[in-house]
Amino acid sequence: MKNDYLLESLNSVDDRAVEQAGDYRPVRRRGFGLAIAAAAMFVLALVLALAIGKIGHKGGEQTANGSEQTEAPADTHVPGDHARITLLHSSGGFDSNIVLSYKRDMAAARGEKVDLTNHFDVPENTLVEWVPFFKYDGRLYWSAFGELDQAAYLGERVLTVKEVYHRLPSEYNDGEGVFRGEVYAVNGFDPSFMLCRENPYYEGELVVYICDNGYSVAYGADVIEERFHVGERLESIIYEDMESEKHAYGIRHSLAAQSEAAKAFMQAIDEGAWCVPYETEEELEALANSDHWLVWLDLGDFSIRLRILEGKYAMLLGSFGGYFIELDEAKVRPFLDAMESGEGEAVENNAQLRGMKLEDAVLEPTYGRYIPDYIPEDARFEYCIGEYEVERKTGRTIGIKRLNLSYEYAPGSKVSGYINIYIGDLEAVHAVQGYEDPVRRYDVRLEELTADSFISQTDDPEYPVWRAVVYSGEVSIDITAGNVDRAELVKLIRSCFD
Amino acid sequence: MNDSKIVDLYLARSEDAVKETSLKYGARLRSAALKLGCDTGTAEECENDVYLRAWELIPPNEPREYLFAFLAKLLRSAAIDRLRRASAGKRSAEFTELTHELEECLAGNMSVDTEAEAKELGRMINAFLAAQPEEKRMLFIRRYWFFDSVDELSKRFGFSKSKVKTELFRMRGRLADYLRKEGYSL
Repeated sequence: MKNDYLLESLNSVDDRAVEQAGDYRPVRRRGFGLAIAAAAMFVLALVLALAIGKIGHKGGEQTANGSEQTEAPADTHVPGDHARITLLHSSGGFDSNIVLSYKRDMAAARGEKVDLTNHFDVPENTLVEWVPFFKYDGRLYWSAFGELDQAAYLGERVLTVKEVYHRLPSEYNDGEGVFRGEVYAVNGFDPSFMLCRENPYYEGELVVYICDNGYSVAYGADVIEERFHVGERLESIIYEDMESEKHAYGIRHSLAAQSEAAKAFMQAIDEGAWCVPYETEEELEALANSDHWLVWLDLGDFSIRLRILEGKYAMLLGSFGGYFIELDEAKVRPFLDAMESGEGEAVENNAQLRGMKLEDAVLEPTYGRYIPDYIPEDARFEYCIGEYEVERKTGRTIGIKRLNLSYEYAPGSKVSGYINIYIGDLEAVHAVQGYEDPVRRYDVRLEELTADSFISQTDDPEYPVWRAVVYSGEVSIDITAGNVDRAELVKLIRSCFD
Repeated sequence: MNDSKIVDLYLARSEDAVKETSLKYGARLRSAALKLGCDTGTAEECENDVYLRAWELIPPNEPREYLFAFLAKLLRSAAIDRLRRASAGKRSAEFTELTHELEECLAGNMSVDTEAEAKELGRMINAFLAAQPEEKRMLFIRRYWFFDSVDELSKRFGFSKSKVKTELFRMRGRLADYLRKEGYSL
């Protein structure tokens, strides 16, 4: 047949050009005017959940909320069909992702349109604070755990982010985020997947932002290798069992990347198919909370968090929360055996926290410094976490500063204690923080503050995490600190009010 | 394991070479075969072909700096060969569409019906691409080497779909001009 070999003529293309094209993504500048409709309130609710670390699902149907509805791509299939799914969203708390992925996948199973952005049924006027994201090229990038070395990783400038706060309900546009400044490519990583900015607090470090939505994937390697390049970067695999996880000073083990068990695990992950191993929401929650192992793929600069369920599912947490890879049970068996027999170097989790010292504290502002007066007077708002509700009475501005007591206690995990200083309405402050515990339990007036005013948040006398909320007038300070001298802490707090 | 060490395994005739290749690139190769229009079973066959060919070709080749490209090229060749041998009705729509697009670059009396002709044309296409700006070169290769759809290119390059089509159309036009000026005829 004529031109039967036409496509084979391209085989002569230079190998290096092909190698380059294999991962090629252009880095280009984007103007702020490229508004792409998407990402409405649900995004901010997820961010809120991210800030707080837990989320309570309230059920209900997804609502449009102004987000873009898009036809499902031709290659999006439901689990059990062709094992090809589309990653849609990103968050730190896996529950939120589970619920969303469940809804998405069930909708696809019914042959319905699949929302390629994200939705969440959040009431209007939901307060959002500490929102570590920005939007670029129509997608959301979320801050990830870990810091990269600036000298090695800082790439070309990609965009300038314009700082916007709390525009609920609203849509975020390209180039908008929760900080103001330049964003750069990360050397060695696809810019459509990972970007960074200079850490405003630690010279020479980069804050990493990852976009994990909008990708169509079939195998674990499509994310693990194609985007994270784990095969080239893996240094070790860290694991911890479920019982250990419950203790503040549990034991984590580290397996060298070259070990047979680690190799077997990575092969199982790479070759495993993405799947949704549940049909009902109840099954999903039962699976996610069943006996499991916590696993970190330690890439040196940052880590990828997994949960191994039923010995055959790897569930990606963190930026990739709520997605499952089905593992070949025979291939993953050496790794499971290694974990069960406690192979590898053992390290006490949070050991560094025990040595926390006040003199090492670093004063730094938090991400969200202001809560502007966008909230209508007497507006009622609530969170999607817990049952906490607040009546907001004024549109007062609240200033927040943060005093960090930080130590790295696991790959990519750093902050372990902090003091937040708020100037403004106390109730609103706690609405922002969204603590599940009754706020008043920790409250103490400045003039009554003593070393005994602190309450430990753990039941373990050997590992106290002290907390108090000190307030005076319109200023309050929320302290959470590890094994520190509380008398010294009192002095420090009093100085903050001076 | 880095590429150079994998190539060392091939050179040492260690069976771990195939194992490590599969570990690092197996999923990508299967994924590429599926994109080229193979079904799952054929994709696995193509992948195995790649390992066999790599074992045969390293040494004398030592693709330390471009192992993925080396493997992908083998895969592409295997996959296209299978598709070409399939009856016309079984060929993927993408395969047929891409062939038709590239035919635009050839004068009406030209055809590429043998491997030798393909090699000669490929040599000229390679020279043409080398003279193109990087982004355009990558766009062309992603389309006709990796078989990316217009939709995928749109996302990867941040272009609208119409811009992708326009750029590719212009590239084909320039290639046709280049082939004519260089006296390409078969």
